[in-house]
Amino acid sequence: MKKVILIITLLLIWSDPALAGTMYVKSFKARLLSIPSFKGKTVSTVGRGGAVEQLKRKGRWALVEHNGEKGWVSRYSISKRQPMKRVSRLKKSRVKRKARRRASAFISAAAARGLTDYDRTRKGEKGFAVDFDALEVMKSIEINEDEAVTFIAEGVGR
Amino acid sequence: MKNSKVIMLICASLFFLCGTVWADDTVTEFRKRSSDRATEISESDIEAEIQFGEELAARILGRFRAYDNEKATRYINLIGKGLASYSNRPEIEFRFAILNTDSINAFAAPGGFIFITKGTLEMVENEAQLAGVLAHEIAHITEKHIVKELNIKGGDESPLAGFASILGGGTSETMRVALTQLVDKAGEILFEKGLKKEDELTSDKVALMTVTNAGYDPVAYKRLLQGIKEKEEGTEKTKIVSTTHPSYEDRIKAMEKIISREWLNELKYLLVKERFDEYINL
Repeated sequence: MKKVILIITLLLIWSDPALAGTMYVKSFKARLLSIPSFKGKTVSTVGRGGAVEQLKRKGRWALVEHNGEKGWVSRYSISKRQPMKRVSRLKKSRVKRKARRRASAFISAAAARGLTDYDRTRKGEKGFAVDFDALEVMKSIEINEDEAVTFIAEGVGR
Repeated sequence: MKNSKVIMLICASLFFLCGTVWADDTVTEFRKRSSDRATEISESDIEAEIQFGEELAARILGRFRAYDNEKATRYINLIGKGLASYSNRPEIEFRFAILNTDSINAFAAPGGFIFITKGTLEMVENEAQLAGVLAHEIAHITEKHIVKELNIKGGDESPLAGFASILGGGTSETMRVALTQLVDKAGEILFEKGLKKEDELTSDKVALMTVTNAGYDPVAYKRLLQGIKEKEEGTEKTKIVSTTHPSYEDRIKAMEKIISREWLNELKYLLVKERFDEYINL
């Protein structure tokens, strides 16, 4: 009986479910390094969505295996979940913006009476100012991931 | 005798376990990393996060106003989006803007909306330092710090499900009021109360790893904070950031630990000063 308790205890202690199992690369690529440090040599590179088997963790690093090659990867680059496709509210937002303008035109007639319910909820109970036009400008800047990654790579000499 | 052997074995096992856990310093991070959990996040959860983020971003822009400089804005978007590609949230489109204020600060709203002030850019000397600031804000979003701080209970373990459950009602007045109250609360966190100290320190740590992964000199980010501490700590420019963030001293000390532990100061990575000067001319 005591042996059974001992074995169960040891199994519970040693089997950390967070360690073992398949992880997925979330960053656009992940370098597998020879040691758990950026000083290590690149053993292999795995692209986004690539499945790796996590074998061990050390600090911010995970030892993983991919296509028979083992290497250390930053834990911030991998996840237990497969990467999702990019989610965008751009089209909906434009539609909503038009609706907002219509609503604004509608409520402006009653503005003399003070803030309408619509304005009050937009600004919040504390009366924070809002600038949805500047937000639209912010959202209008289109730069794809490849362009941005290449820009950085050129700057840092990679 | 047998009992003592069993106890010794259990003690040895616990000692072994504690040794491995304590060596893994990420477990000391304040919140469990969401990427370590396999909880499913749906597209509607992300949409709800973005919708919430848009409301908060509009308030940030309403409070400080955007700085109108197309060249500089495009530049920070190139650097920010490039850094974000090293993060663990490819489902989010990250967007960056400059705020027209001398205050030294930066903000992140859920859903990928990131702001850096003109005052901060005036302190930054090179692209590596800029990357540090942007990577810190990206980390707040990837680690879902505001979402967790708001503590909205969703239908499952995912903190994002809370947004979806509140926004799922669409156009009803109740849902709209709930959203407004939530954005008010998030605004208070950003402008007045600040996030947990541990969350800020975690973002600094993640930022160091991100900029290094991208190829920038990671020590540059620490030097930026040191420069701000020496020149501007206690001035009007750092008034808000000093109430919402841990002291520069605490942040620098925490960063030094990571730099030492990860041998980051031994890397011969670049600062990229010339290109920064070319694009950032405020």
